[in-house]
Amino acid sequence: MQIFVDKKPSLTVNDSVVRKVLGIYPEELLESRKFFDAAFRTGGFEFKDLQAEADTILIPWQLFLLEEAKLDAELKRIEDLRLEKVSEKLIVKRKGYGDITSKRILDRLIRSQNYLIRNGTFEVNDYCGSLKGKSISQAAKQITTHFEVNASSFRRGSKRDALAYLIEKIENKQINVCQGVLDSNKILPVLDNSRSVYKNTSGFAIKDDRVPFIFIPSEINPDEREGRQILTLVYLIALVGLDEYNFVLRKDFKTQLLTAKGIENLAYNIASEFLLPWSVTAGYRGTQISEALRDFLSSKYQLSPTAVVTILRKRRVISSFEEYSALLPDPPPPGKSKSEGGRTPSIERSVRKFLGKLAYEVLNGDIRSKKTGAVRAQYIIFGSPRKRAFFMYRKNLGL
Amino acid sequence: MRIIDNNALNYVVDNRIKLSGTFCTTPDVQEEFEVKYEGGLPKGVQNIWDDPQFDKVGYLKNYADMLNKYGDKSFYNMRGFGDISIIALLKTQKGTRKVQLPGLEDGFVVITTDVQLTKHIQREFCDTGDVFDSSIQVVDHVIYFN
Repeated sequence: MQIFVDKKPSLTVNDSVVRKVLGIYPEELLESRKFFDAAFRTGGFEFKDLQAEADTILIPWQLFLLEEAKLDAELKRIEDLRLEKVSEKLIVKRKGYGDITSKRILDRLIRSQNYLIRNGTFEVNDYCGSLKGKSISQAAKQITTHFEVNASSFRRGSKRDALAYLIEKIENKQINVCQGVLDSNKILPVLDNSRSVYKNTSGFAIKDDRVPFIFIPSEINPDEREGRQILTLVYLIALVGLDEYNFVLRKDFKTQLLTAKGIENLAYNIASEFLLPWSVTAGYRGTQISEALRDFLSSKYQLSPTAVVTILRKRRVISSFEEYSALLPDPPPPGKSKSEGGRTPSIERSVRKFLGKLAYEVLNGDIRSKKTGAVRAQYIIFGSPRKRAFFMYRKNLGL
Repeated sequence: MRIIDNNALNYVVDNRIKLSGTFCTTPDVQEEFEVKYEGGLPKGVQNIWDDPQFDKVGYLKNYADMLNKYGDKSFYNMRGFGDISIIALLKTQKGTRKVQLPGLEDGFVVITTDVQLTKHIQREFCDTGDVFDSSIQVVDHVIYFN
């Protein structure tokens, strides 16, 4: 493929190099973008157009200039980092489920975590693996005790309040909680098929013995309301406690929860026990479960109605499949993306949400003390240099 | 030709130094500089890409060569490519030394404190004994502007 500068031929790059660079995020189908599609067909492109396109897809244009062997080494480095942090299962599209973990989000958070570990001062996190060997009820109690969760405080307000409460408690104990953000601050890019990629990205945990990261989709999946996010969060906390990073809570979690085996089943049971104790549901055994009761439990225990019904079915409080199906609520109308209408939050608020409290605080401290360079800070915050946005970010925070 | 890197540009602005004559910099350096300082380059500093006589075709080739030779750590550490772009600029000027460009007869001064950049320049230019190469100086910006 020929690169032109002001219509004069300059460099030649192999088509295979271009394909490999675009293959960093295979789920985004970047080859089908107008620019690259035309480049493959015509055999070339203008350098300034490559720069503009690279700026849009947030992949450094310099990668396209690498010799193939060098590029392979760089791509291997990226892949090794991913595998070090999450199970191979999570970064491969699983047939039959359509689950995709956005590699773009994964890479961003791995970078952020690596930065945090190298530049922060954190002790080994004794929560990691501490649930191994415990019974379900012991493990649920351990979560309550370790994260200092007060059940009344957690259950008092709305689901939104409960989620915020839980995130705060978790982050106080050195687990960084990152949330998907999709607003006009463009912390994550929104390309042609981004929305469907993000919607199919489940929550996941990234391993570290000091500061594990947990990602919950939040805004990037508008169908995942607060009740569902609470369940995802606690499920992932259980996995971290079991020192297991191979699992996600899939879109259709009902089937997953009812058929899970082994570690997956254990993590569900711990999460369910923490959120809706067995002692509560045991009292309803043998009674007719109504929609009103379902909604009451949903409201009181900060779970979605679907999760309540599924847990009751799993515990055989709801004994027949017909009763279970009848109690499942109608699917809610498709959630509106938070980016559609409404005020855009401040850029620092979006960054705080995506990076998580611990990474946000360490990075800002380093920007303030000039311990980290501006380019590097932008890669962590935005995924690439963004002068104007970074300028506003620093101005708003007085950095 | 006087070539100035990002740290030197920051020094000029932070110390309100009034530049006399023309200094050159590269697109990558300007990009890094403008992260901190809005409003463009200081007076007297020109982005070489804006020079209509600059050999952009040659520059891109040299940039790719230098990137493949020295650029590994930049991707991994998420650093910019300012140093790569400066060596590419020097290489490009070497390629056009027969063309009379303003300041060419006076040699090249690279104003930087970047240890890595200095090492790369030494490796690429200063050990070969070529006439062009011996006319390259690397100067610390504090020394240069004082």
